[in-house]
Amino acid sequence: MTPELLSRPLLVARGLTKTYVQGHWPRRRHHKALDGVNLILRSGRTLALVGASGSGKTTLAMCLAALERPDSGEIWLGDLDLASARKGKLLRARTQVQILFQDSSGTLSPLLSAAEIVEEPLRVQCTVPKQQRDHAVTDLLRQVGLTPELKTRRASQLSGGQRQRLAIARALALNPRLIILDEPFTGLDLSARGQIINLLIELQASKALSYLYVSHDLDVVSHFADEVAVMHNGRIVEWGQTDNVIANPIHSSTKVLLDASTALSGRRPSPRGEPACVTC
Amino acid sequence: MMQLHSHSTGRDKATAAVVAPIPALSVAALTISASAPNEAEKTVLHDVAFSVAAGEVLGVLGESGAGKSTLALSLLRLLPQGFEVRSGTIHLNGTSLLDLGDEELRSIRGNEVSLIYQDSSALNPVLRVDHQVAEVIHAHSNWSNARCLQEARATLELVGLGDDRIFSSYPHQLSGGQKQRVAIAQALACGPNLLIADEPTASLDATTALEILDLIERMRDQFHSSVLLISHQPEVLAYLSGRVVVMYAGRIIEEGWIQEVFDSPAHPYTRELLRCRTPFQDKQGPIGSKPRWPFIPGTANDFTAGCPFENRCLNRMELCAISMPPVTAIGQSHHVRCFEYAEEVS
Repeated sequence: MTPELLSRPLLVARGLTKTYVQGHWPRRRHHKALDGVNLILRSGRTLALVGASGSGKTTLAMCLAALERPDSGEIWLGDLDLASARKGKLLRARTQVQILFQDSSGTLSPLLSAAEIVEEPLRVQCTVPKQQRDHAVTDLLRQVGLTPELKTRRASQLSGGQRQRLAIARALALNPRLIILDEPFTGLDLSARGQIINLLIELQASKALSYLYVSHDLDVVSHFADEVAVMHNGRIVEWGQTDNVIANPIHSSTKVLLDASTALSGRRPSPRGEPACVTC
Repeated sequence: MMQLHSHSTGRDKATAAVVAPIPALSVAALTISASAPNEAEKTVLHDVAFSVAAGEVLGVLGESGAGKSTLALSLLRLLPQGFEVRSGTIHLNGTSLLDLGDEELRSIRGNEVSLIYQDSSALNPVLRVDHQVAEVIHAHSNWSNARCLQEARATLELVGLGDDRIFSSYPHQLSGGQKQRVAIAQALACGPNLLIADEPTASLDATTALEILDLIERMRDQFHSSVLLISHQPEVLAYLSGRVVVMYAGRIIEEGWIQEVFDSPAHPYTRELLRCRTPFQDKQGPIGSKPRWPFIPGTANDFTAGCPFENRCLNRMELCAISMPPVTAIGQSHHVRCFEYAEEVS
């Protein structure tokens, strides 16, 4: 595929806002989780969404996955606006956007076998005839590196890395174009993390998948993502090529994140000038 | 066995370093087995021995399933059903923890030994934060409720949560970092001799993780407690601990000063694990424009008579599959369990 084709916009979000109401009168408070977010996701590329906890990363991910409706704004996936689409149309759009959650032990059903977990989306969306489903499931498991012997196991009987592979197989079942990865590596040890990263990169290369990678692990972000968007208080405050943003952070919150990450890595944080804020 | 060493601790912190003649915690030849219905009995900890001096932070590194959490729980005698201590001793300031009765144990848990869990789901969802901390104090003193509450609030202030609104909050109203602080306040309420932190920063972002690690260190200085810091992230251990033990399939396979172990890892497993921190910089067949990440193929061999890492090891010898390598000293306080070094010595 040519680079031009790869970098075509897949999903465009404009002016997204979302406010959560906390507590009851008279102590009710309005929390702006998203405050006018604009975003473009390109085919076959990875955009990392970083920011401190509470900056709105997960809310944005849930809106793009059509699991939450924004209060206002548009999310264009092809010619469908996910923010205003009706249920029936959303159901079909959901085949194109899948989400991989942080803790797969908590999101995979404890009552189903591995094969049933992967088969469920095929059954709900009726994309594969009943007779071929078993074959499709074996094929999906093979794609993520799980052997057919594991088909009868339950999620709780798999290791952390295997569970994450199973969650990836389930996400791939409907041939999505975009997978939202919400902290997919927390809780995995270093070796398992390396394997899952390689798997995701290989799948991206072979299927021209787009990833929205929500994370606070800047070490992985710097090698895994093509672009980085930094969120702060419900806004995207910095956005650019990964190398550029990490080498020359402009917004103060990006610098704070980078400093914390380098301090934790045992390296001395490099002295940086006074925070110069561009948008706030 | 791993030698007992009592040294100063901390990263270049001469002022905070303390030399203690007697280790606060010493574990010797600890072997724990687990049995589940319809499954063969499995040894989850083999012959584990280490010690922690007062005021020292000892890091425990290992992949999931290596026995890190079993070790933490065994120190509090909180092992789940089916787990049994086969042999070994655990001494805390001269008291043998394995010989204590239920009543004595209860007075030690949360008082002399306390545990910070991985996630803050250990907090009671229907108790306000200050009452939650007061509960711990109440269990170990005969003070009045009001006095306990007062002490609890003072402890919360110590961990940076000195706010009336937070005192009266429920856990679900707090952020992840705040909940972890409450858990730390709870653990520190009685000034424990030994603090066990089991993946205290696993679910936190880097900024919050740093704050929590700094807090644990400050508390260590203040209470002069020993800390057992368990993590699968080398950078978390490097930030806080002086010495580190590396666990693999229930065994300690390497032990030493963290700088030494991380700069020149001796055991093939430690070498491979540390290599997984960053992607290959060149060659190795990148995927498209992105570098491939290193990983260790295969899984631990729990049922072998030889070295459990033998099946994944790049330098394996025939001997490795047959017998367990002995612990060999390769530096003043650097020990490794691998035949590669045993030969050199003999």
